[in-house]
Amino acid sequence: MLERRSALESLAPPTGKGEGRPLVIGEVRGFALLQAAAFVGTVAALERAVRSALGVDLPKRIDAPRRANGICVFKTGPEQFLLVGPQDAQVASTEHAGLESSSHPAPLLAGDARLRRVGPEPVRPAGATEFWADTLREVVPSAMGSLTSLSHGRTRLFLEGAAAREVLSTGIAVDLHPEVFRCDAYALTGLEDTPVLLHRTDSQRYELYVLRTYAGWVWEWLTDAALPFGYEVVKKSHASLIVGPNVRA
Amino acid sequence: MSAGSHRVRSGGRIDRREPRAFSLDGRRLTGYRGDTLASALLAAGVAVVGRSFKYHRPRGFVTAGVDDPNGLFTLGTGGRAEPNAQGTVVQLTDGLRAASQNAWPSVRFDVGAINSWFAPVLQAGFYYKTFMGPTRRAWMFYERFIRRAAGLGAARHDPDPDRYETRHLFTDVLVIGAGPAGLSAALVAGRAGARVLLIEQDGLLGGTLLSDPVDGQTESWRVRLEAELESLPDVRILRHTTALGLYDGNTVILLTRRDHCAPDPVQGEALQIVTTVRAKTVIQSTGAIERPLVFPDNDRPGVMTASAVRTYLNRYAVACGRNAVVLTNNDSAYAAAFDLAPRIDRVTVIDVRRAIHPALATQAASLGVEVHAATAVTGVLGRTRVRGVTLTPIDGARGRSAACDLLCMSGGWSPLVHLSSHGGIKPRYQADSAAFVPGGYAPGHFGAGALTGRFSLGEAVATGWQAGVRAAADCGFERAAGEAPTLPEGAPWDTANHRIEPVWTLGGARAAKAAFVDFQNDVTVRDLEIAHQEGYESVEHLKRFTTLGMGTDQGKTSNINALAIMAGLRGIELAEAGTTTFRPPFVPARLGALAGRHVGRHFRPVRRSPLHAWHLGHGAEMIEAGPWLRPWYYRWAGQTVELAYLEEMRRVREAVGLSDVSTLGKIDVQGPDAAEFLDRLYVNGFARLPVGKARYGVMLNDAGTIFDDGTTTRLAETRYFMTTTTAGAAEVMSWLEFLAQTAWPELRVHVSSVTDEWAGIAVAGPKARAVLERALPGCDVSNDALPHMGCLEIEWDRVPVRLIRLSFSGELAYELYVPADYGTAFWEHLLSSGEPCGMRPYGLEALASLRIEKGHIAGAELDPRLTLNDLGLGRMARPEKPFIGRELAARPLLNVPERPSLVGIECLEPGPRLRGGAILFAASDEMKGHGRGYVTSVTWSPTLGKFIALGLYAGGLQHLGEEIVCAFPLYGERVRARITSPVFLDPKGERLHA
Repeated sequence: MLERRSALESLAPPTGKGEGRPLVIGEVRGFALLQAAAFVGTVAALERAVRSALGVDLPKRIDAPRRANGICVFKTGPEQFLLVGPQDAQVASTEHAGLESSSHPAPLLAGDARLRRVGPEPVRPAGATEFWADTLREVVPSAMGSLTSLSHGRTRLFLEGAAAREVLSTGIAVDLHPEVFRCDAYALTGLEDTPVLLHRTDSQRYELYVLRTYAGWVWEWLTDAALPFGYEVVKKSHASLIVGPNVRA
Repeated sequence: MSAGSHRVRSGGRIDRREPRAFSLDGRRLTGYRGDTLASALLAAGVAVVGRSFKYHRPRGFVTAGVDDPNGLFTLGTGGRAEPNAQGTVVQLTDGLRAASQNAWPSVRFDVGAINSWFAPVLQAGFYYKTFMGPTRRAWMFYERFIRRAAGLGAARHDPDPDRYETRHLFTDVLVIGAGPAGLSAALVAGRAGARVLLIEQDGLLGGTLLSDPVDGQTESWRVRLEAELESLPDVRILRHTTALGLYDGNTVILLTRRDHCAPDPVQGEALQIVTTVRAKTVIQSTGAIERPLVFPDNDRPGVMTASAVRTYLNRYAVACGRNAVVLTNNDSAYAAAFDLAPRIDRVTVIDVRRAIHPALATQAASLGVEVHAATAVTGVLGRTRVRGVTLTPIDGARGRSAACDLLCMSGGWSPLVHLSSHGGIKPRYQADSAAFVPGGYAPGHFGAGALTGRFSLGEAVATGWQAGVRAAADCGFERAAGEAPTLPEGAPWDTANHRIEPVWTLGGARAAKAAFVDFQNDVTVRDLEIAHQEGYESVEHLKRFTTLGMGTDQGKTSNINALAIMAGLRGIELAEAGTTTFRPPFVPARLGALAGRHVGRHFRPVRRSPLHAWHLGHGAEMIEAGPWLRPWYYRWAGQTVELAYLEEMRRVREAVGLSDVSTLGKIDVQGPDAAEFLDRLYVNGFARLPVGKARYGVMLNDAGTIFDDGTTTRLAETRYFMTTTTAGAAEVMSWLEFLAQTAWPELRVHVSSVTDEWAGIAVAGPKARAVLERALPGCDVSNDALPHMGCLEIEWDRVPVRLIRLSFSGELAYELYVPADYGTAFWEHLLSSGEPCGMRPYGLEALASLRIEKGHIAGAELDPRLTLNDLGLGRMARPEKPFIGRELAARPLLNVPERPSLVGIECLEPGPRLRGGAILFAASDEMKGHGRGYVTSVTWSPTLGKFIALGLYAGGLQHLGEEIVCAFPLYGERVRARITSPVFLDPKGERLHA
């Protein structure tokens, strides 16, 4: 199979485990991201559909995400939501459950086993490689809303350690005081003219969802901002942290 | 003598065990930790530290703080050199190298001082009248000499190696100024539980308390407050930090100087930090500065404000003289006299007031200080250093001279009203303190301490406490804050009600010539008189005419005196005259500090394609294209762009090439009304586009002219995949969101940017199909299965691929989109599959040139001044359906046949080249004016073997075949050319449809 490559692959080789450092920076890999949007008047229907397919509720406000069964939902607009879940694995399954064949209903084309025809309708559109996202697609007709895969379009960074808050404050105009921006709070904001979603996942841990094409620049910017504190780069291969025990639900 | 000839043996806040070596103009000197550059120089007996701006008169330090107009130095060398640094503010560090300014060859002997002989002609308005005079040429000639002779430090061209930071902070209560008022305010707000940010310009907290004797009664109070503040978890203290400006929404910009820490930029340590604070409430406790008095030769080195002399004595252990005269119109100067008396030989107080408070008189007598009431200083003896003064009784009797080596003056106090003025609130004159105070406070702002025109210590603490309580309550913190630590009994000069009798000039008619109002800009009383005679009545005009209040100190010491003198000349009250507008920054700020880390590669965000790393690793020369970095050309094709792009083009025309088109804007359009939405956006129809088909579309803006173009593919009944130009992507996305959310909320459609989600790869050339057959075996890409403008959605090796057949180059071509993380692997897969066909990558230069040969419009032609018809696209529009821009596109003048419209241009001469931007004339035209049009895009065509161009020409293709001249006046070039069809290559599209 073709190899997935991070936007940061050539920029951010991991340097250690980062234990005990004032700041650890790295990229979270192995997650899937789906934008779900309802139309005015269909939010309730979308919420029912999401609940039935994934067992998670949609948040009412843009402050803290809702999560269940390995899916974390951020509200990002009046009728718009961002669903973060595991990549290539069944919802809530801790094992890699061998879904490769069963999750691909598309018919084989003659000739090469690697080639499948997926479009046009009614077969699912291209871009969906996650089983849980497909589950949702089956219950969200186009009149109810739209689903857009953004798994490749966002790079997910994390900053962890005592200096994380201060480093972020050099570029993000959000009050990160621990009593204001509490654990599990998130904000749709900007980091030096690039749009980001900032999520505080633990008392000293923050995640940033960055547009992929800006990720290299943001990485260079963040590591430069972290220079006076000292930092280590660490690779988190799997996104289990979404539902990690650290986060106060 | 290392201690310095003027250093007092004991006391002060300097650390005598830690000497600091520094130099001034190469002269080696020593001070102590805790010194400023100014205190160390005064301790060493250096009286003259600079030459004045215009007359080059010798000048010394006047104050001990941020208000000093004279003591400006250039610090450091090379890219680190900082001009106009205030010696009174610069912390002395080991190895500091200072150079004096505006003097040649030295401050002691300055050739420019000859200007002072010409003082009568150099007065206000001189430059305007003389050099700006009848012809502008005069000024052009004189300017360079004047700029050299009059001026402050010089900026450098070397890159600044230091690092600067910017950051954001938030707080409930921001307290600006940590004097007694600010300390009290911060403490009470902090105790109440509010988040407090206390900022102080100085390296130490305490404000005026730092000028009290270090073993005095106020010190324990200061230390106790500081200790408690440090212990409160939500109180943050920023020292060496100045509020540069106050802006709407309680936003305050701070500048923190870290020069004294010798920060190492390589370790990421910032020299200065600019902080944007967003505060719920703001307490202004900025204090007040002492005003000089205006009398003849009041600018001589050794004439200083009384409070400054006291600060140098008590804080820095420097006696600025041995025989001091203290000239005052108020009580506060007695503090200096009383502190000096036991430490130096002689102190005499000259008080212009008739009545002196008995408590002051008693203490003066006990300390052996002579006091002369109703007397003025009307002259100063000595040129480079005060040697004596002329004392004249106020009632007009004859004066006498008295020897002295130090003259301390106090003209009263001016509150630092700058911050409230930044917020647009005009200062108000408070007659009993002879001072302008803030004319009010914005909601959530509070004033405290000397800023309010109440100058005693007791009042400072009380108003600070009150402001702190109110600010905390405003933020919802009403917890009882206990009692303020009690202050010791005030000194007589502090509790004697600060009576003041304002006098604005001393010395009568003699005052005019050499009584300075603004030291930094060399503005005298005479200059103000001239301004008055010339009719400059408004303070703002006075400022511009005389330059008063300009420069690095922005008239901190001079403004009020000048306004009072002007009011006197006009016969109006000072309150009526008002003040000039105080604007940020409060102190000069380095441009580097404002830029922060927005320098070099962090200057602005850069976008990188998912294939970026591959390009770098495979010989691509990159080029900036808007925010993107794109491959310009690849070294496989040549070492320079001129060679490489031609080779890359040849490869595409003759075999096949591949190119990274990930930068195209990509928008996912979904919903039951997606088709209707697109029909309204594009001039042409998309509702009837079959699923699995792509169509080229053009959008107009709502003025009916060109907005953007691109290809949109129908993936499903309710889903389209739109591409836009690279340059227009962000604007198109915003426009679409705006329309969907506000103009047509009834349409059930969502637009989402998927530019970052998909990598895009173009495969173009006669062998493109052969490459795909090899790369995607089993996928039928025959002309029947995938005709021109057809689309297939497939999955290759579990990777979704959108395969669209369309062409920008005019060749048989495909665009392939894969999820971005797979971009590189899929590109490599295509490249290895295409190797037997000779496929190589091509860059932006070739991409742009290929499309010119084909006559496809792009960036330079997608000009919002142009119409569809101008670009030859009029037939695309479907006027029977409504679309954005339809009505206004029908405006008569947008449809006259003489409008410049798209043509092809081919060069008729073998040698010269065509240039972009060249002006087009008919062969018979006279070569002047704007011509009949211009060249928009140009390239050498390897296919045709000549320069070809696209351009706009009046009347357009009506002139097909006519000879024209392409003029490029900048280089004096004229090239013969001919109007052709813009489609130079394959006009029937046989290659495209192959």
